[in-house]
Amino acid sequence: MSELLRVENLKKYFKTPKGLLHAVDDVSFSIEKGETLGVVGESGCGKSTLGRCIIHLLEPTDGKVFFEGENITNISGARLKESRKDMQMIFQDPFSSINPRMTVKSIIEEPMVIHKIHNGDKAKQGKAVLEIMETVGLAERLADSYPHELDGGRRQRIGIARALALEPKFIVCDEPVSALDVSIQAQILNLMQDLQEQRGLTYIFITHDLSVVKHISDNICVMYLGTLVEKCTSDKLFEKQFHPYTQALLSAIPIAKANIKRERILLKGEITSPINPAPGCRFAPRCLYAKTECFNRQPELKELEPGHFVACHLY
Amino acid sequence: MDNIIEIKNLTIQYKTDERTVEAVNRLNLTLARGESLGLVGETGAGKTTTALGIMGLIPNPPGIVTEGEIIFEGEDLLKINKHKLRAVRGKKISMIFQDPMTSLNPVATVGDQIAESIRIHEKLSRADATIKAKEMLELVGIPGERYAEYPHQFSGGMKQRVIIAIALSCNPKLLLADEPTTALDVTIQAQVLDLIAKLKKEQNTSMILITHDLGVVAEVCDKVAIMYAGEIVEYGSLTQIYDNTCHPYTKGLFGSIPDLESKADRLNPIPGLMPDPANLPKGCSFEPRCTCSCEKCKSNNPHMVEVEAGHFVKCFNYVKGGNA
Repeated sequence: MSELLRVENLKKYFKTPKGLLHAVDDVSFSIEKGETLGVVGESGCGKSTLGRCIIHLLEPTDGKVFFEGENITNISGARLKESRKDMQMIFQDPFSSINPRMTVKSIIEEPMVIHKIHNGDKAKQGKAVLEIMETVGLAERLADSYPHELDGGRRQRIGIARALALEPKFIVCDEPVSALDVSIQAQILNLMQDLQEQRGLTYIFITHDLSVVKHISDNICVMYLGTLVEKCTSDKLFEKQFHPYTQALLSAIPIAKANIKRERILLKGEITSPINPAPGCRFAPRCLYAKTECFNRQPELKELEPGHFVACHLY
Repeated sequence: MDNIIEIKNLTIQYKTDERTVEAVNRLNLTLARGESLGLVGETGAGKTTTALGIMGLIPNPPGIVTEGEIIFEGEDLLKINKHKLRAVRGKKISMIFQDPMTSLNPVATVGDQIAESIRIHEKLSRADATIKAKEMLELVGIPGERYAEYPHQFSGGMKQRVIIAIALSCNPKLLLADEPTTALDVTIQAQVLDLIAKLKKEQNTSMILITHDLGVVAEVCDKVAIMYAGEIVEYGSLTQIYDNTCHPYTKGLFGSIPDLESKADRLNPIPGLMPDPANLPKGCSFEPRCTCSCEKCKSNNPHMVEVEAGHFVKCFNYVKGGNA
């Protein structure tokens, strides 16, 4: 397998009246072709900002993004447009990310028109749209419907179809199933896995739902307040967690089984403000094991076991 | 056992000129004192409508309770007059609403909002109500000094705590919690669930917890009712429902959740979609999506069958054993 995407020391700060908001702070990772990288974290940890920085919906403040070996951090104009053919995004909310005035067909068609995939050959284009609709499980009769006529699950299928229209290699999925009911969520997850197998797609799967991320990802990054705190393969992470935040996060998931009594690590307090954060570990104010060192110096990612990276002063 | 609430044949419809939405259909439910029941179902199953029905808060028009009884402490809540109902609502039965961001008044301080319900139901002076409201804040883990702050100064988890404080301020007998943690992050959800469980134990409150999350139910509830298209399709104790799942819909729900412990390659979702509540199938409402339906299911709506003591299933072909 070869590396498809590499992110190096990516930073994104937003200017606010109160100071700099550190949304993403010094995040590095790489993704192999055909794999799924899960990015987990709670609201406000910078996971969506990270996804948006990678595919150029936001300009990163600092750092580099490499796609197939090429530095794409500062590309613009025609080259940027070209790169969109390889990288697409599925958005979180199927209710607001689709233009309500366009029909299903025209929504899926739009990327093809913009990128002149079929050079104006209407018949060919129409056929391509129907093929994609079939792939994502949308019936042909819905081609002329408007989004408001459809339920959440079908709308999310439109979002997926639109992302697939240009046959990208890489898709950033920003909470694609969070707005859906469990039974529909399972349908969409299966669809995404099928598509990955058929087309060799690479995903970044951003979510706050740990059971979903375990199910779909090969590797997982855990984020807390803009920083990467733990990174390893999906199976390993659920076997053994090193970072106190990951431990608390995993113990907080309610498990759908009767009569399981688990020791739960209850975190005190809430996520602190990402505006002008204090030096030191971001998690220190809520951490059960925080030492003086944790408040002074930010920990670096260390490889504790082969392939298992943790940013914590305890180790 | 001593029942705190008995719901019999509750039917709620939303009627408009064009169509009638059958939101809740002949729902039967009893809850014993001190118990907590998890009411589980997907969007549009009628969970919230049921809770609003108990509170007498169904918006009318278009909502109408067409049939049924809600017996609470020997009185039918659907028959008593408005004034009596007001004395019950917020005092004996109170509700935690789903969305902590929108269910508080943005232009009143959180303390005043807690004191408001205390002053309405308990004849306390303004000063005493303030003291009690501060105690409630402390009880849910918010320092009393924040009494005079406004909702926008609180985070989502804190706002939900304020709402819990309002709901519990008059020591209710029955608490209806409508998706109390859905809008919260997992670590905050754990804090809030812990708080609800603790307070419930201290005040011996009965609770109906409305949720779509089977994990949350497993943590908090004794009894579980699974709702589908306005009906309860399976009812029993936590162990009965989770370890001896009988209804095909409940099985489908369990199959849809990714398991944290085992590594399944694919999920087993329920095919298709929830039926339109304005146009329910003639027979069993789950029949179009069911994998083990038969001819009988198409034309007849099954009745509740008791498969073991206290475990009821609304299905003709219920499957025995947990993983059949």
